[in-house]
Amino acid sequence: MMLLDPTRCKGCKLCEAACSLHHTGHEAFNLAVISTHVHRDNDSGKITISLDSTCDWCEGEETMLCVKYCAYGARSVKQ
Amino acid sequence: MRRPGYAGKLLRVDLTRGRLTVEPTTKYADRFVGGRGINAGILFNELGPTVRPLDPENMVLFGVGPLVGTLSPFGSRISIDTKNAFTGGVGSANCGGHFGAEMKHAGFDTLVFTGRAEEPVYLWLNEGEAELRDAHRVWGKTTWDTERAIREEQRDDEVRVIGIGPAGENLVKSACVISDRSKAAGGSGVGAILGSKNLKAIAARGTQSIAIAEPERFIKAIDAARAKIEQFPKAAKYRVDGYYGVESYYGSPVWETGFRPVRNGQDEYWDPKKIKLVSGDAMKKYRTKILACSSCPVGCMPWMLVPDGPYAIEGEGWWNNSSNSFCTRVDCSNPEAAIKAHLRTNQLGLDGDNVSVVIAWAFECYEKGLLTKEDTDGLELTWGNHDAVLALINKIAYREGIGELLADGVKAAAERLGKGSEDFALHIKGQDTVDGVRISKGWGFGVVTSPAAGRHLRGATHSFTPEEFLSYDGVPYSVYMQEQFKAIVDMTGTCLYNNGLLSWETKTAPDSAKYIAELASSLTGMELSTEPFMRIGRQVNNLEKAFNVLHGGFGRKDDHPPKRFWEEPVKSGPYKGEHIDHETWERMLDEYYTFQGWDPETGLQKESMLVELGLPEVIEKLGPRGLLR
Repeated sequence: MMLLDPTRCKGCKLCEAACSLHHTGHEAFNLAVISTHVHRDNDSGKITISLDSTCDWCEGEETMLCVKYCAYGARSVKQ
Repeated sequence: MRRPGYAGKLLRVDLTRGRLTVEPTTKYADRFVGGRGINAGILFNELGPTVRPLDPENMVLFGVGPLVGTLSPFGSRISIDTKNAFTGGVGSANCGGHFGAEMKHAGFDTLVFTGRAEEPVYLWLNEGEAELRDAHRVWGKTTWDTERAIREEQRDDEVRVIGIGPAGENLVKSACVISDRSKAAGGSGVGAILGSKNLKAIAARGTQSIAIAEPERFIKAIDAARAKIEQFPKAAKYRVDGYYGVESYYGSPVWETGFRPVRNGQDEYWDPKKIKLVSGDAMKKYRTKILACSSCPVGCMPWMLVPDGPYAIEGEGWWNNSSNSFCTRVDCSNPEAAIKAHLRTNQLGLDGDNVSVVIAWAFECYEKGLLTKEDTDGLELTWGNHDAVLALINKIAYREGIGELLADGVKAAAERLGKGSEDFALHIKGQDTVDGVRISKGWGFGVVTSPAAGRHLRGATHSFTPEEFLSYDGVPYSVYMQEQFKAIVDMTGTCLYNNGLLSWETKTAPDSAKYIAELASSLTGMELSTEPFMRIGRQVNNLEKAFNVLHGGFGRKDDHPPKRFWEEPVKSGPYKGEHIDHETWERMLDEYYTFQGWDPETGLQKESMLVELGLPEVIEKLGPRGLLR
């Protein structure tokens, strides 16, 4: 399962870009097709992360791209 | 056909007629890549020299580069270029945050505004479409409330907003444009330019696709850049401790080396007891988390909370410059008041770098008896009076009382007051300048010669040891190279700060150009290896130089520092006695102009250089006016 830790997340959204890379077959960045979303509340600075049912665990990739490109340890996979 | 790496559209907005037209970005990207490059090309080619900064005919351009809104590290920046409200020369500002990426996802690379709307408007960009909307509801509101109101109107909390606060509406020269409530595109009076156009904000939302030319190569380039950043010994510490952006430029000391002028630049050394009160460690107490701009794998922007008391406030932002603007420059060491001052300028849409200069000048006028309580609405402008700083911030934004004197910048204020106050009005080419330039010669020379007028995001070079700080050796060439490199940074839409982490080993910032060039080449399919890319950077700098000559009438005399930095040495601390040597400065200018291909006597560009560089438009416009050599 995917573990999400919003307290570590800084809201850079590299995970969203990585997710779109996977879902477009590495052809583009297209946020219309992503499975994970990061939201920052600008009143409180609070960050929330979500993952929806379209996530296919980066099937065909060597590793899950959102985990690979997260610089803050906000995402991890537990076997 | 839309080129990979680009959203594809350049939008022209005629605010007078309410007319919107779209052109393909490719038309401009072939020559000047994106961001500041495309902005500078259009500005030089299309704006007439007789147009004044606040005239409707002035143009203001917002541009993002190809690396923005992708997986490329730190592609977050948006460049805003216009005719400078302070100087009449080139105006150029940029900021990070999330707006740039959202604008690109909404389908737009560049926005070109001309004219003046009859009533307040904001531009709404959504999924490839654009429209001007009524902004009466948000006119008069702070940048924070404006964002809230536009998100409510669009019923979408992911909408990103960039715009002005009351300061810009009131045409205050130090007004900036604020993105995401906290990222300031400061300098050049860009906020006042938007205010003069009745343009309150731009809001964006979208999920448009950005294609990749060579995916495998692009991913390889991303991984190489990320690996290089992680090799920086302090990367992990900065990421967790948040010192990055607050306390250090890649390990270069900032407290004692003139980056923070003291008491309006009377000194460049501050009492260590005061430093301790507002240092990075002291500020940790108020920091509840650290946030990042879009695509940034480091993240340097702290979320600050003053929970209660007279300075209670909460929001994103506290930065290296903040402790200059609201601490050393006005001799204030109350951390809570300083945080409040920083966040209040964000709300009002004021650039802290600019506005703190005129505030400190007013304090010095008060110290010297040139201003009294009768002139200051009863405020005691004594060094260390942080409440007076906060009061002046508000008065300037609304042009109230003494704020009217200060709202047009330090040069205009000193000219109005006279009485010798011109001698300590710290401006370069007419724009208030935040930097100390007496100790670090490379930094100082870059700040003073910057086409953007006294700003440190162009030729200013970092130094790392006391010997390097004080040395004049190699400075002209270093500044010349830095200018080209920083054009690459701004054309691609990357963060200069993080570019330093791609070259931390050699400490020569342009070394990171090879990473940026590979990222941009593989994403766009344009072959932008380092050398030709630096050449485009040189073209962009020369367009801005030509703009300054044609529009601002600037020459060699304008590449001199303010009088105080010539004549008054640093008064205390380890660099006591340090000053700028006049003769050496002149020799550096000769050398710098020679590298540039500019005439050492006048500072004007040489026609032969422009032919070689491929800028026929500069020859065409400046040649007949006798402004070339």
